[in-house]
Amino acid sequence: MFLTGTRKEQTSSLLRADAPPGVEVRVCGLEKSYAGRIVLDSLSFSMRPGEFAAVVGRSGCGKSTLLRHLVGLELPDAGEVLVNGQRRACLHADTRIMFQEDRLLPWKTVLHNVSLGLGEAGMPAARAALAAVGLADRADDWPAVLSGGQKQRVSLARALAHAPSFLLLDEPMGALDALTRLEMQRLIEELWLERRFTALLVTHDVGEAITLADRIILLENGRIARDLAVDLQRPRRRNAKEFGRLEVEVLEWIMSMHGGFI
Amino acid sequence: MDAAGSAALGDGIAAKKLFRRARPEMDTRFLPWFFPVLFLAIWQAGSAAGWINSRVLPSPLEVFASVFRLSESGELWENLRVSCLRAGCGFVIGGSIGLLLGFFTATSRQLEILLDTSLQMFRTIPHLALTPLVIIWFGIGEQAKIFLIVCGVMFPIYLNTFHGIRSVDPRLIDMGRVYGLGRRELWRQIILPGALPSILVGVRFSMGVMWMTLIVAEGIAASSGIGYMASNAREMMQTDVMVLSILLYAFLGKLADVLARRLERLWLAWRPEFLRAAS
Repeated sequence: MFLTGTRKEQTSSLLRADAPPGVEVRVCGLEKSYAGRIVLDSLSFSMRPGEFAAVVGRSGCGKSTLLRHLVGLELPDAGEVLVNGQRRACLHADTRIMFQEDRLLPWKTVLHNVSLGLGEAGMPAARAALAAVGLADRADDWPAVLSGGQKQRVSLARALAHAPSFLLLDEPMGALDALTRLEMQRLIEELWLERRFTALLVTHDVGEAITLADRIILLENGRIARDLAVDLQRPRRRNAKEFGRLEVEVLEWIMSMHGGFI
Repeated sequence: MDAAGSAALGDGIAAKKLFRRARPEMDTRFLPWFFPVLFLAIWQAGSAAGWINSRVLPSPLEVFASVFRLSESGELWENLRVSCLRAGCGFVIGGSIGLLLGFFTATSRQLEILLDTSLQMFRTIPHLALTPLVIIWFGIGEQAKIFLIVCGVMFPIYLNTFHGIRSVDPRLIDMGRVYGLGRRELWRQIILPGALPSILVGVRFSMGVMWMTLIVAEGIAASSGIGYMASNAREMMQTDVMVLSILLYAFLGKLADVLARRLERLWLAWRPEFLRAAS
C-alpha cells in the first residue's frame, strides 16, 4: 500500500511537469448492429484523463467495433462518445489508433510512414518519435526490410508523432512472438508513463492487460460484463503473487462467461 | 556429438556457403546475349556454307550491309522515326484514355455500372479486325494507324488500372483516414502508389500490343514506316530488307521492354524483389 502511494505521488508530479495531454472519455449508451446482429448493446463507461484501460473479451464480442467508434471510423446507431465533454462524431486529430497489423505503406520509407499526415512540417516530430521507439537509424529504410517487431514499433512511432491525447491500441502485439511482445509492452508502458495520454488497449491476452492497464473491462456480447481495477505497482512483474491472483481471477471469470472458449 | 565433430561440421557448412556465394559473382552481363549471338553465328555459317539459299534468307552480313545502304540514303532513319512517332502518339493517347477510364470506373460504382458492359464488349473485338473499316474511314493517313494503336493499347491499361485501384488494401485506406489524410491526399499517397504495380503491368503488356498493331497497320495501309519498308521490299523481293525490318521490330520491342523495366525499378524500388536485387 505504501509503495502504491509513492507511485501515485510520482505520477502526479510527472503530470504537473509536462501538461497532461490525456483526455477524458465518456461513452454513453453506444449501440450498433450489423444486419440485425447486435454488436454494441447500450455500452457505457468513462475514462479519466491519462488512464490506461484494457478491454478483454472473446473474438466477436464487439471490441474492435468499439474502437472503430471511438476513433470515428463508424457512427453509432444510438448513443454518443464524449471527449472532454464534446460530442465526437468524426475523425479527430487528437485520437490515433495502432492496429493489429502494422499497416505501413510499403512504398514510403520508414520516416515518411511516420510523418504520414503531418507533411514536411512534421519531420522533426517524426524523427523524435522514431528515436523514442529506438529506430532512429532505420529512418531511410523501406518497411519491407524490417522485422515484424520493428514494423510494429514504426507503427507506434507513427501514432506518437501526432502527439495524440487518446491512443487506441487494437491488439497491436497479437502477431508478435513472445519476446518481442514483452519488449513492446515495456516500450508502450514507458511512453505512456512519459506522455500520459489516455490509452485504451484491446487484447486477448489477460497477462498483457494486467501488465499495462489500470483497469480491465470485460466485454461480453456488446455489454460490459465486469469492470476491474488493477492496483499494482509498476513496472509489474508477472511472477508477483498479486499479479498471478488477478490473472487467475480474470481468466476464471472469462471461462465461466463462455464455457471455456476465449 | 562432441565439440570437434560439430566444429568440423560447421566448417563444412561455411565452405559450402563460400562456394555458393562465389558463383553469383560470375559476370552475368553477357549471358542474356548468348542465344541471340549463337543464332546469328549458325545462321552466318549456314549461309557461308551454302546450306541456306540467300534468295530465301540472306546472311546476317548481307542484312548488315542493307543497314548501311538504307541508312546512307536516309530511308531507314526516316521510316524508323515515322514508326516510333506513330507508336508513341498512339500509346500516349490510348494509355491516357485507358488510365482515365480506369480511374473513373474504379472510383464510382455508378460509372462502373454505366460503362463496364460497353467496355467489355468493345474489348472483346480484336482491334485489328477494324483495319479494313479504318482504312475506309481515315484512308491511309496517320489517323488510321494511330486510331488502331489507341484501340489496342487502351484496354490493357484500362483493365490493369481498374484492377489495381480496386485491389488497394482497404485497411490502408482506413489507416490513412485515421491519420488525417483528405480525399486528395489519400489518392496521392495511398491509392495511386498502391495501384502503380498493376498499372505498370498494363503498360508493359500494351507496349507489346502497340508494336504488333503497328506492324499490321503499316503493312496494309501506309506509305512510310518500317512496316511499309517491309511490304515494299516484299514486292521487290528484297529479302535482306524484309529480314532487317523484322529484326528492327525485335530490337524496338526489346527497347520498349527495357524502358518499362527501368520505370519499374524507379517507381517500385520499395518492392521486395527489387530490394533483394539491390542488396
